Amino acid sequence: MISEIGHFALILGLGVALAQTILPIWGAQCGNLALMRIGTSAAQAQFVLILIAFIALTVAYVTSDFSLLNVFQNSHSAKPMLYKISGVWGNHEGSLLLWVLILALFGGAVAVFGRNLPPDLKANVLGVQGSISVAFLLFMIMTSNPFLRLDPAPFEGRGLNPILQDPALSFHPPFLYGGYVGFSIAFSFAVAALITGRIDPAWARWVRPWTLMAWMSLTIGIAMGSWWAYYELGWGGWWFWDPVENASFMPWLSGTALLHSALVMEKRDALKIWTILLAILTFSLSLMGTFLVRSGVLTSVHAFATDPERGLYILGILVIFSGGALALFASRAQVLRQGGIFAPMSREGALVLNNLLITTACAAVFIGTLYPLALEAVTGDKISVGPPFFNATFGPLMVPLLLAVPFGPFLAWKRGDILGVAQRLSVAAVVTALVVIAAYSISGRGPWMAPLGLGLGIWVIFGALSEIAFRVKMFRASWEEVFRRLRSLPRSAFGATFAHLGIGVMVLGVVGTTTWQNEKILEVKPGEIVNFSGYDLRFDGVAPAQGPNYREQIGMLIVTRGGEEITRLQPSKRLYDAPKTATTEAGIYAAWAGDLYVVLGDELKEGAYTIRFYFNPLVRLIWIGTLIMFFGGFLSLSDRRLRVGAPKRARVAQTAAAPAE
Amino acid sequence: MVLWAIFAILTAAALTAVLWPILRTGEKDFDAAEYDAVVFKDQLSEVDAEEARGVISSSEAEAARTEVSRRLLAVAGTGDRAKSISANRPEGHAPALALVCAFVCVPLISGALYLTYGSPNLPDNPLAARLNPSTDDQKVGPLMARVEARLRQFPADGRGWEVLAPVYMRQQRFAEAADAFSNALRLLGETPERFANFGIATVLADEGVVSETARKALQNAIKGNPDLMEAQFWLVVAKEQDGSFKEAASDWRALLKRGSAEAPWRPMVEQRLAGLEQREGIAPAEEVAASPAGTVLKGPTGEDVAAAGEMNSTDRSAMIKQMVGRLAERLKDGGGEIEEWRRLVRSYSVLGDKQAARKALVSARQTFAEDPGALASLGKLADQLGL
Amino acid sequence: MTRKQRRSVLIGMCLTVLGLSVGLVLYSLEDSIVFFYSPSDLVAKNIQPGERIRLGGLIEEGSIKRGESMTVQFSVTDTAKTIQVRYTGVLPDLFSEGQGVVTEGALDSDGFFIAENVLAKHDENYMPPEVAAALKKQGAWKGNEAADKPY
Repeated sequence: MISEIGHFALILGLGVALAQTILPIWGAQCGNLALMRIGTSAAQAQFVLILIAFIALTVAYVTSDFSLLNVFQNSHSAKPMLYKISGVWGNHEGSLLLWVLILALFGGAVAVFGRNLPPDLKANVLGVQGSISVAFLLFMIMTSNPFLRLDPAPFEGRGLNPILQDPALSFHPPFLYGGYVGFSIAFSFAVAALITGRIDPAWARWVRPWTLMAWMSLTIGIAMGSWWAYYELGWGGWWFWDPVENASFMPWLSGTALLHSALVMEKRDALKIWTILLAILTFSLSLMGTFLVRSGVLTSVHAFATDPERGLYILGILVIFSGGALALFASRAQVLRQGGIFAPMSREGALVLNNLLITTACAAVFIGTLYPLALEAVTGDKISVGPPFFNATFGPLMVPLLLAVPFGPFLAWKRGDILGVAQRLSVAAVVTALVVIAAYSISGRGPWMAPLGLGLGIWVIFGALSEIAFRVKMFRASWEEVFRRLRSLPRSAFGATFAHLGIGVMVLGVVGTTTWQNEKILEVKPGEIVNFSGYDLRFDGVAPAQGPNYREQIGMLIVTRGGEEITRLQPSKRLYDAPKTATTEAGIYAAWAGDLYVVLGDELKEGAYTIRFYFNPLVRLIWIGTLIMFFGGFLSLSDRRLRVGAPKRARVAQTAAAPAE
Repeated sequence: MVLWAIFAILTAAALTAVLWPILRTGEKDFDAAEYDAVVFKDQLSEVDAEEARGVISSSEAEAARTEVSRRLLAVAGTGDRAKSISANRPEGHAPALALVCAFVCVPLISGALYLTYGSPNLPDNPLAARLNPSTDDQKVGPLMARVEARLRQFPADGRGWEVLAPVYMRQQRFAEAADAFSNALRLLGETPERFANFGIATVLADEGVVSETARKALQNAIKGNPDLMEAQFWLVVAKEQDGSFKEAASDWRALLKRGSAEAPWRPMVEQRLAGLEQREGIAPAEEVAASPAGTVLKGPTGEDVAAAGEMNSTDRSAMIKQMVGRLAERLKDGGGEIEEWRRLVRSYSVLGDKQAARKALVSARQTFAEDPGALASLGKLADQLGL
Repeated sequence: MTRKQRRSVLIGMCLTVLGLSVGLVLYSLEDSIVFFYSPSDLVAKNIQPGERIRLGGLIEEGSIKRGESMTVQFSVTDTAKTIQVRYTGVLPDLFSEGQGVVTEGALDSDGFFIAENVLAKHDENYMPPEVAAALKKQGAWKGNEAADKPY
């Protein structure tokens, strides 16, 4: 009964979404306030209904109700509870349900928290949002319905892919979707603005918190995915430029550009056309990511059931929404009046440079991801575009961007004083130079780029710190004055600073681990001691063990440094029962200087094993950096300024009464 | 009934939520410009605050203020216009049409879709309900884990394997069951029942294909005890797979004659026989046709279980057949290499098509008539596959 | 600066960045593309030793030979042609006979394929897409389970 209620609620959600699409937009067209308000109530109702459906499916997973085809195919009664729950979205149908749930959540949030929006804009936003829901709900109900039943119910399920049975990966999809789907709000705002024809700085102010929320969610989602790939796949890497990773990275890049260009639009009434276009493109890239991942065009652990029909449907959604929005954009773009003018050397100029470099980088990733598909479609040749391509294109574009990052926040709007800014950044420049020199003297004959790369990270970090120091008059005023200023600074000022700081920290990690990674593959006999990156590792052989739904072979290594035991690493090879799958678990010792990362390989003669040793310097900083970025976004979001209230009722009444006098 | 009542409540709630703004009386007018003005006024106060903190110079602040004020004036201008437009609009019939639209979208479309896709008559079937609470089945999980752990320690404990194997069978873990039965067979000695169990598990693990190993085991079983009906059943299936349809049909009839009228497997066999007769055009024998047929009862036979566990084994074997067909096609034309011929022979035998396998073997022997090494390897293969 | 000059500086900046990045993309594409071949393609297209390619197919039954320490030799086949591959290093979790595999490397002068990378498959149902396509072409595609298995 529960699952049928879920099924019914899902279908009812489709009906409500349909009403949410038609009535508010119609109301906004004919100026009927009651019809416009339907958007608000329908969006909330839609969220509640889809939540009911989601809960019903979760209950079916938790109770192992294999009378649902979807549960039978993706769950197993012996699975730990966490993975029964995460199994809900560990498959195509369930992850689509999560997708529409988050879509409805964002719509409902705009309905509830968007009191500051003009009713016609809000009606159009919710209407467009409703239409996206309609498309995905129809897709789900007709081709990927998670509530299809089996009669009689099989006794046991087939199990969840063991490689997905991991805590980080359990929560990676919800965050990732929070980002993907969150950008739908920016898209809806853009289309709504094109419909109403009012595209002004206030619009940018209204759309920014929602975009920021989506961006934060996507940031964490990508970081979790990369963290999982790092310790689960056992290759010692944290980013592979895999098409699936790129599919989530492209919306992140263009979403980052959108956040910055919306700032220019809000403050200066400039870059309007560009900002609207970016909002449309960002969500289109999210949809494209979904299409690539789900259609089976790319086969990977994410591709779940690959089914050309489903792929075509998603492609259809992509074409209709992106194409429709771009057509509307083309028909309206020429009536957009271009706003404030500015000098190239100004805050606006810096943000334009940021947008230019980020979107170009995004385009490079796009080409690298889609070129093999296009070539195969045209000539039939199969090629792979590997990490070297992405490193060679993405890297050089990031260097000028990172060099410019500290300048941006210091430059004044309209016309900046570049010399004055350079002066304020002199401390950061000196620190950077010192670090580069120190790094050269320590690393000696290592890769020559590494110290420069580190310098780039330090430059961004100290640039961000200099900005705060300048704002609070550090070293120029008394300490009391500094603290007073620190407290009175708006949180959004810290937001941007922390986000930039996070980038700097991440750059340190990326540079450190890519240039100084140490890798060794050895054949090790039990009792043998391996000297690696300053550690002594003694291999004590392999012991079997039994997990809840797997058996494993655990390699035992004792790590010592200078005769003192530091830790014991236990890399293992697991064999899961259902489905029968082998996985590798790395043994990782985390230290600030870097991670010692050990992977157990194949068994050789006389109890010897091949073992892969990695030393990944500074690798933790990558994820710490993303956390700092997330925190920066959180600070901005909590700032009062992004939540300007609605006009007070009395004032509306007053102005409404005015013409009558 | 309860379910439909819940559906009705959900629908009513959703419809009310959608129509709430129409039912409620509220202000009928708004001024979009007011909303813009709030933002711009806030921007003005921000400029003031930044100037007060000394982050921007007073001349910069002044320029910014001028710009924002200009925006404020601009929206105040458009505000009047927007309002006059909305005031002039007639809005009499819109709510009526909206009501119709809402009724079509929410109850009608949703209802129709649910009736198409839903299964309102199926109850939930969680694990707890499936495990029969009157028996000890609920404890089966932990118990099994204990037995499994013990067997890992003492793998020579035949009794343990024998206890564990049927549990595996019930859980549809056929490959494990086959292993367990074979261990029991090896450790506790050969009995017809053990042969039968091992054979059946092997067949189910191979998705209903009777391999040579399974066939031998089943034959051993009925040699010792001809009353093992399930073993008999699979041996006849094996005959069908060999393509000896006539023999299979007469065996089916013999089985039906032997079994009592209430035997649980009877409908299954009848169905199988009827299908065979229809497909291969074998004339139905009179006494069998007279028996009641047509009602499909759920017998505890393995095939039902296998069908549920492996949804598209037919699709798969079709795919394999196609692939083998293509290989055969190529070999017929171009000679091919010894490895390819071996693969073809093996594929046919896995598919249960012994005749084709033998034919392929003969062709292969002809092709490699002058290569003693190849002939030897073909001979070995034939022995392996029992051809 | 006049308004016109400002605009031309901005446009100039955009064009420079775009021009540079187009150059960058083209240059890198030229450099870092790796073609995928099946053993039949490898023979048919007469690939020269030293050219970096990806080779994919099934690991032939009975062909895996472990040599000294971590060197492994095995044959990759698409049922029509077979290529001998040598690899030194750790093999992926599910490397076994009869499974699909993708290796990256180059032919040496003796006709051996020297692999630098043997690409992992995530689970037993996952057939690298290129391998699946190449095998389909050879008519040796075994069990397309992707349609009914969840992964």
